[in-house]
Amino acid sequence: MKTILAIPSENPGGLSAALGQHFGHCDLYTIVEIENGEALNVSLLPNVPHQHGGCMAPVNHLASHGVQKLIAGGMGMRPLMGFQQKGIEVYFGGASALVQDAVNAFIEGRLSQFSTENTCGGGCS
Amino acid sequence: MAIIVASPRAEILDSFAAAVAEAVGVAVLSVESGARMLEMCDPSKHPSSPRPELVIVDSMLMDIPTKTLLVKLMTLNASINSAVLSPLPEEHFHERYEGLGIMAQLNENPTAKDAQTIAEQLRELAPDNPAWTSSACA
Repeated sequence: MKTILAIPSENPGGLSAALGQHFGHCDLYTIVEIENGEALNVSLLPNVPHQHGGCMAPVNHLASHGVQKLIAGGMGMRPLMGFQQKGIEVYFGGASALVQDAVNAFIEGRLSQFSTENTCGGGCS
Repeated sequence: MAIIVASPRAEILDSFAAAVAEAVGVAVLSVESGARMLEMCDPSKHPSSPRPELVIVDSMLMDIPTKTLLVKLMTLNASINSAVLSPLPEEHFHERYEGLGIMAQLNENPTAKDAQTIAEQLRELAPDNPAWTSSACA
């Protein structure tokens, strides 16, 4: 079964880009389609403008593009709840330096689910 | 679609609530407790009702701490925006509530000007919301 995975990234995005440490303020998203443990297709998705209190904008943006799972280094509680309510699983990838590292860790099952204990202040500001 | 004002000071906030209703162009409902606000925002209890677009929470609510209330709210429905009436200095407010995605801090005695600000922020967050098409929001 194919999984569409989003990884917040710094410019220029892609597997060799640095992981964006805060999902809502990242430069863009690297989208990776994974099937049978392999990364098949890699594409880029621009981020959306982020306003005060607009935590749900990137959540809705990713959901509307069919994202099923997300790897994040930092996130506030509201967007985390928003992802959960939209059925998008979030994984904590804060230890990954590069998008490729995060994708490998995900495929190998080394990432834990992002919990409320991982949420940060400033999640939306 | 509605806005909920949760405050034990309904009489004092009456004119503000009316100003919000006029500025945004939607109904504003007032409740006197956090528990009642949560009940109204719970989709399992009101499955056929559209979610409130915004809750305005008075930090003087007696039945539940504001931060606890906001966390419970986002657990119910993270899409509901929030504004908080609080006398805290901006820096302290930010420290206490950061990460909760609060749209606006208002002082404890908000004015019609604050109602206009709320309306503008809502329209910026959801420019395509059909609720904003009334003449009150033009």
